[in-house]
Amino acid sequence: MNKKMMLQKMILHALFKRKSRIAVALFAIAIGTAVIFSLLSVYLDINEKMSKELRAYGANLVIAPSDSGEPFLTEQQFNETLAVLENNVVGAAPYLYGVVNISNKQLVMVGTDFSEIEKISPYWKINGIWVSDKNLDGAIIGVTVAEKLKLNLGDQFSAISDTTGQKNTFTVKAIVKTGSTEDNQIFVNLVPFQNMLQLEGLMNVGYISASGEANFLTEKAKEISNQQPSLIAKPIKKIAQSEGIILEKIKSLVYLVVTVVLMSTILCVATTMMTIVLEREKEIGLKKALGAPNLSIVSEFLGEAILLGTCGALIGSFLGYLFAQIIGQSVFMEAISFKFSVFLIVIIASVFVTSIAALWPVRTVVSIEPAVVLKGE
Amino acid sequence: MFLKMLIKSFTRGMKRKILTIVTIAFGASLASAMLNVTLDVGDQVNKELKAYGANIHVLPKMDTLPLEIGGIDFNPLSDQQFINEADLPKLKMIFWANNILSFAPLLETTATIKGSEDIKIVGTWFDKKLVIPTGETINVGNTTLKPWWEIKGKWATDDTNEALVGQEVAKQLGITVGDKIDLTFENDNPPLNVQVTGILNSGDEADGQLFVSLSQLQQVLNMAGKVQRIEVSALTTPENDLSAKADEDPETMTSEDFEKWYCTAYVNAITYQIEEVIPGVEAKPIRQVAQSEGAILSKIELLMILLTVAALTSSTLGVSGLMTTKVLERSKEIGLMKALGAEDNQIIHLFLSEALINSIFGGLIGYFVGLGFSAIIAREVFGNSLTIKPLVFPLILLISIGVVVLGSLSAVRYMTKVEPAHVLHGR
Repeated sequence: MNKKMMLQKMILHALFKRKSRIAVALFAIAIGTAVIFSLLSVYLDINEKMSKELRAYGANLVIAPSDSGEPFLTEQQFNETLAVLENNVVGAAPYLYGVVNISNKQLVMVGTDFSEIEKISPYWKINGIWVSDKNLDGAIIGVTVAEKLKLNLGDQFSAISDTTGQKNTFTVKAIVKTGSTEDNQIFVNLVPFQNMLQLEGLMNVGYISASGEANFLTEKAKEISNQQPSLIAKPIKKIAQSEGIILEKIKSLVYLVVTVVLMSTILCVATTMMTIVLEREKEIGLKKALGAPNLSIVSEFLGEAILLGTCGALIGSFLGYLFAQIIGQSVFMEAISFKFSVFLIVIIASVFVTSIAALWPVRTVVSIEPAVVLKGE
Repeated sequence: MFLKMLIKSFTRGMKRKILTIVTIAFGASLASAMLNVTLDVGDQVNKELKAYGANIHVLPKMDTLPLEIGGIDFNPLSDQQFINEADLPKLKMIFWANNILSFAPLLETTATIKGSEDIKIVGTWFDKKLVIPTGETINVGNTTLKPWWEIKGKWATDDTNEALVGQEVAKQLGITVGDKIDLTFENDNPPLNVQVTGILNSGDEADGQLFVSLSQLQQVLNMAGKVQRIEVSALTTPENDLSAKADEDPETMTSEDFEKWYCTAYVNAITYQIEEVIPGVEAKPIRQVAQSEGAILSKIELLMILLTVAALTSSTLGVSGLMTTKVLERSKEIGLMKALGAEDNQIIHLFLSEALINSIFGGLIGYFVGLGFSAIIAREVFGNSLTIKPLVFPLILLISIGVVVLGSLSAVRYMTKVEPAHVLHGR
């Protein structure tokens, strides 16, 4: 029997003969790896995920005509700016303002795109149904407007434009409550309102909700302003900057938590491994007495540790991936992506930690006299 | 005899015992750090979210609809109603007074500068020292309310002729820091001479406005003690079914529900209380801020809870695994005791007492180490100290005792079932 086969046999023997101990160690390693795997996966995804969540605050970029000239921009110009932002656009709504007269009360009417409003302003609390793009006479009215004009869901009202004198009839499809200026305004589809004001293809401002950090937005805003000198793109600082701060805090919070968990998990795994090796003091003594060189004892324990570490990490990665999905689904309603680098890191870390933990006690044990150990104390 | 054996087992294998206690302590420290942070994360993040500014508007009850486009109101000033400035300190007298972080009154009008177009002039508080009815002095105003405001130069001072100019206005009219400018108002109001101390970059409609001290503006407009609206920033609890029910009409709630709602810091409970203390106003939650805050807050809390569960599971399993190994390695000792005629109960008793002592020491050390960890997290992330929740201490002791005792118990019971001869023989 050559040396290599002997080593293999001894490692396998050590693993199978002491099932309960090995099971406990494997369990500890697997759970430790699982936790680290899931936390790292979540941590690496958190930027993107939280940034999406923070879009709940609504538009963070506004496109307006620059000071000189007409106070309008065209729909085509607006679409061109969206092209600059590529696929970072969460939603983009045009706004065309006009003052109208309804039962002798002056108020502000806004022509917009409701399907986009739904995306950029998830905080709108509406009572009723959203107006579809096809519905040319549907309107969503602010809660204060509803109160003051005594309008209810389904009611019809006619509005006369201050500038053109044209009269249109709309139906109340929903009442919106936001606590800000929207409460005092009436929202209708863009096209009928453009016709009413005789401003075909025009809008006053465009609100965009885009994912990305504050710096990215500032850069893109500059790019847009340079490309189209008749426009100004401005990040809404209150939203864009605060978002950056919050994101930073959350990232560092999760980072620190992951570090703490990592440390203590490593310690738990390490002590379990140490205990398993320490209880085999006598075995080591016996081997030494039989003439085994230190190197072969060390490589036996190392082999055992590497095998345990790898198996534990494999099981742990699988469990960890599942756990990451639980976190992803329950917190962000989205899957956490699988990252090969995380997998690699946990395998290496697990093998490294178990090996160090196994070798530490072995080191002290091999240096002592076999006779002393075998005798008992 | 029992005591002697117990003491012996501690004095003999001191080195190994230390390893056990250290592991328990680490597990417990992890648990206590996570619990501390999770229980406090709501408050901490809530404060961070205040960077989004005011979440409540207080307006006088009005008959007319404001004609506001892009922050400019087209209604003449004479049509408007006002709130008494003297009522402002009452905001700090509501049930949730401590949750009111900051507020600022606003009085708006338009003026021309050197024959320019009309520019919106806002009279407000910058950093006002306010004596509230309880006798305390607090600092409120835009300095605390709008943390995203960037000032080139320095903030203006209240009750002086200092002013902040929005960057767009400054660019348009070529105003720089240190300039003295005259504001000319409509009607027969006298002009106001102000000194520009800072250029404001806010990224919203405030860039096109000019901010002056409230008292100065009130004086020239002859509207002493009057403000148009108040912006309030308050710490709130995320909305749920109860607050939604109150949103319909608080009067229709059962008295029990009403009490619970009133005594929770929901944003609509706070607005309700503001309307109670200041007559003739309407307090509105700004949903863009209030709603989103709630959504983000509950996400982060849920995330932290799940992370805590993960951390607790890992340390629990780690520690109980270790305890099982510890008991298993003493199988010979158990075999010997049995061979000498020890009862199963006695053996279990002995091992559990040992585990109990280990766990109490480990738990105690762990709790304090964990406090250190959580203090580091709080300082690094939120830049302030953590409120120590007294609940965590007994919880950690209970968890560590439970985990250690249960971890040992299963192993000891398993060992007591084994034949002594079998164990002592070695295999």
